[in-house]
Amino acid sequence: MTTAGQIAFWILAVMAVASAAGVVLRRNPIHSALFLVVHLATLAAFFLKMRAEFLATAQVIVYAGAIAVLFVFAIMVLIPGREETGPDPLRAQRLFAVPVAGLLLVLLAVMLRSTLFAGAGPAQAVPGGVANIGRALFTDYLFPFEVTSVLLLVAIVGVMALAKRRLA
Amino acid sequence: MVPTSYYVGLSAVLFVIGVLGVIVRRDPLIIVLCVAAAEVAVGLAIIVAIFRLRRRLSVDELSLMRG
Repeated sequence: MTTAGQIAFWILAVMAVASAAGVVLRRNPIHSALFLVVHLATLAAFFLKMRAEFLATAQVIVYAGAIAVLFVFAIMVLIPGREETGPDPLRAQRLFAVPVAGLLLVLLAVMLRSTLFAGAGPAQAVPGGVANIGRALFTDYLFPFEVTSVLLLVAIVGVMALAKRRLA
Repeated sequence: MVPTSYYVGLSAVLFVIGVLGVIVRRDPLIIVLCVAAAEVAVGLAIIVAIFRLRRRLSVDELSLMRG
C-alpha cells in the first residue's frame, strides 16, 4: 500500500539523487552550483517531511541561501567561464573512482544493516517545534551558543587577515 | 509511513555521490562544493538516527551523548 508520504519520499529521493549526480557530472562549475541549490532545497523538503521545521528553515537560509550565493560568487570571481576540459592528467586513477565508490556504498550498507537497521520501525511524524529549540538555545545552551558566535567571529577575522596578506 | 532505513540508505547514497565528486573533479572549488553536499547528507542521517532512537525529536531530551 502506498501512501502520500511514501510517494513524496520517492519523488524527493529521485530529485535528491539526480541533483547530486548533476553536481558531480556537469562540467560547468556554475551548473554544478545551481544543481547544489536544487539538492539542498530537496533536503530541506525532507526535513520538513519529518516535521523538523527549524532544520528545514535553517537549511534553506544557511545552505540554499548563503552558501549557494557564496559558491556562485566565488566561481564567477575566480574561474570565469572556465570548464574542466582538455586531457586529464590523472585519468587512470579516476577510472578507479567509480568501483571504489561502489565498494564504499556496499561497506556502508553492510555496516548500517548490522547496527542501525536492527529492529528499525517506521518513522513517526511528531511535532518538532521551533519554540522548543529557541527556548533551549537561549536558556540551557546559551553559553555554547555565545561561544559559537565568538568562534565564527574568529573565523571571519582570520579570513580577512589571510585575504589581506595575499593582496599586499 | 516510510521506514527510517530508507532515509538512512538515501543519505548513504548521497554521501557516496559526494565522495565520488571529491575524487573525480579537478577544480578545487567544485571539490569543496561536493564536500558540502556530502556533509549535509551526514546531517540528514544523524537526524534520522536520533529520530529512530528516541521516537520523538526534542532538543530538551538530547543532552545525553550516548544512546
